[in-house]
Amino acid sequence: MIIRWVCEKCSKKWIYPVEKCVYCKGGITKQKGSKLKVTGITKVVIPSPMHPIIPYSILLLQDEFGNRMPRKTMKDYKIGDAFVLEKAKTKDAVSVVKVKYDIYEAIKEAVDLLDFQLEKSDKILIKPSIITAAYPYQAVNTNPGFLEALIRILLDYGIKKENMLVTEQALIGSDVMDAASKAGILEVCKQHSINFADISKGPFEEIEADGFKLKIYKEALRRKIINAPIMKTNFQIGISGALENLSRLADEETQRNMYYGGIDIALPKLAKCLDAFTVADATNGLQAQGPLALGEPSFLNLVYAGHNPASLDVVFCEATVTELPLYVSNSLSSDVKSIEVVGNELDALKYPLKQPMPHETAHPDIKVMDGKACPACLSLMINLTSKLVGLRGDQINLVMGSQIDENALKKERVVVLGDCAIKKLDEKGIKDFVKIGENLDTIEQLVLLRKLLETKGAPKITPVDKVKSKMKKLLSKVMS
Amino acid sequence: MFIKGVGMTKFGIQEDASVHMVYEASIEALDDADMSMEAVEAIVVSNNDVMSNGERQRHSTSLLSSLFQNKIPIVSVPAGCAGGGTALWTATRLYKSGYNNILVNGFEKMVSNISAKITDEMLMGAERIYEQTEGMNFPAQNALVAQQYMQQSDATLD
Repeated sequence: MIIRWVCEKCSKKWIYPVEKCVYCKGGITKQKGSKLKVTGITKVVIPSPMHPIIPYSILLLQDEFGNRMPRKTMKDYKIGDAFVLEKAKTKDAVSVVKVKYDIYEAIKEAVDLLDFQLEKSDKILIKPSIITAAYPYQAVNTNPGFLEALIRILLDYGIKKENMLVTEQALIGSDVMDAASKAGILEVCKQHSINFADISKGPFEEIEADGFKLKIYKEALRRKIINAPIMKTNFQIGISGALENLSRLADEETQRNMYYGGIDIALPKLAKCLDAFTVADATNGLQAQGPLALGEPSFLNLVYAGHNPASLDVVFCEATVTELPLYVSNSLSSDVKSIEVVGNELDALKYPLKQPMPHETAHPDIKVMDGKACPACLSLMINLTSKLVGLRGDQINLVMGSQIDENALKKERVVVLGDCAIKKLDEKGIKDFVKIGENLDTIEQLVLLRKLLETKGAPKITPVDKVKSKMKKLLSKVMS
Repeated sequence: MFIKGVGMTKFGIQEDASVHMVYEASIEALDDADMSMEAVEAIVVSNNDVMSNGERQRHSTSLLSSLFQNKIPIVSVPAGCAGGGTALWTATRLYKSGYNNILVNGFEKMVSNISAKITDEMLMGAERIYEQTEGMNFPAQNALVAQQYMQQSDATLD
C-alpha cells in the first residue's frame, strides 16, 4: 500500500500526515493506493549497518494514483510486474510491516495479512508491556501511540469500549499505575474511556499445566487476549517479546516460582495455557542493556503480528540477528526455518541490534552474575546499582537468581543479592557468603551495598553494619 | 562583487583534522587575494560532516571561531551536496547587506571509516521512512532517477 495525504482543494500531496494544506489551508484526505506495479529497479551491492545483506534490489513501485515509493527486496522482479503482498497460508505465520508514518495503517496491514477474526460481542483483554515508570521515548514500555492505534482498530472491528480492558502489572516491586501514567498509557485509556486494571490485584485462578501449578489472572482466561508487547533485548533471557509479556498474566508467586524452577521450562508451559493473538510494538524497540531503562531505543519502525507468540519471537530474533533464547525454542512446536513470514522478506529486514553485555549494571564498579533471577531480584539489582552511581569503589560481583553458575561464587568480592539466590544456596548447603536479601528495607540494602563497595578486601557485613543500616532507615523515616 | 582569492585542499584521503584543512584552504585563499584575516568582515561556512570521522565537534562555527579568533559574524549554512553553492549565495546576500570582505568555507571529511559506516551516514541525508529503511542510498537513488528518465525519453546508455 502507498499512502499519501492529499489537499482536498489544491491536490498537493504529502508522504506524511499534515492537518491542513500549508498553501491553501484546505482539508486533507488520506489516499491509499493498493494496485502496485514495478516501474523501476536498481541493485545495491554496498552493505551498511541497516542493510548488511547484499546484494539487494530496490523497486520503484507505483500505485493507481501515480504515487510512488521505493521497496527493498531480495527477490527478482521485472519492470511492469505487479507487486502483491501475499496473505499468510499457515496458522503460525508472522507478519512484519514497516510503519510508513502511520502506525494505525501498519497495524491494520499486519493483522489483515493473517487469518484474524473477531466477533462484535467479543470481550478483549489488551496486555501491553508496562514494567516500570519510564517515558515513551525510552522504549521500555509499549508505546502509547501504538496502543492508541490498536484500540482504534479493535473499535473498527465493532468491539465495544466497555468490552475492552487494558491490563498489566509492573515488575514485582514496582507500581503499575505509576508506570502506566509515566508511559502515557493511562492517558490513552482515558481518551477512549477504556478501563485499565492492575493485574497484581487479581483475582487469579489456579490452573495446571504439565505438572506446573499456575495462578493466572481470571480475566485472561475469560477474554480474548491481544498481547501487545514492546520488542526488546533482555540481558537475562535474551529478549523480552511476545512470550515474556505473557508471564505477567500470572500472579507474583507464580512468576517467582517460574523463574526459580527455570523460566526456560516454565514459560512455554504458561504460554500453552493462553490463547493470545500478538500485535507487537517494534516501532521503536529496545537494544543493548534491555529490558529496563539501561537499554537504548533502536528505532526499528516495525509492527509484528502473529497467532503464535513463540513464532513471533523467533522471527524477531532472526530479523535482529539475536541468539534464540531457550525459552523460545522450547515453546516451538515446529522447525524454526518453517515459520512463514509475510509482509516483508526476512533477509530484507535483517538489522543487527546491539546485544546486551550480560554482566553490566548501571554502576561501573558493580558487575552482576545473573542466574536468571526473578523480576523482584532484577528490580532490586537495578534499583540499588542505579542509586549508587557516582560512588567509586573496588569491583563487587553481585550473584543473583536461582540458576547460579557456581564458578561465579569463586570470583573475588562476591555478594549474593535477592531471595532466589539466597534460597538456592541454602538448599545446596552453601553458607559462607555475604548476602543482601529482600527482607530488608531498601535503605538498609543500600547502606549495606554501599559499605561493601567502599570497603577494600573480602566483603563482610558485620553486626555493626547491620545496626548502622537500621539506624539509617529509622532516621530517614523520622526525617520524612 | 567578485571572488578575490581561492584556496583548496587536495581531494582524497586525508588524516588531517578538519580545522587544519580549513586553515590550509583559508590561508591559500587569503594569500591568493593578498589579504589578511584583519580585512575579513564575515565568514560563511557550510558543513554537514559524518558522525564517525572521529572529529566529534559538530558545531562548525565554534570550530572556525577558535581558528580565526576575531569577533565577526560566522554563519553556518549546512546544505549537503549543495553546501558550496548555498555558502556562496549566502555570502552574496551578506555583501548586499554591507559586509565587504567575506571568507566562504566548505568542508567535509568523508573518507575516514569503513565503507559500510560511511554509506550509512550518507544515507542519513535521505528521507528517513521511505528511503533509509528501504536501503535507498544515493547511488541507488540516482540510478532510479536515471532509469525513469530513460523510460520517459529517448535517452540510451550510450
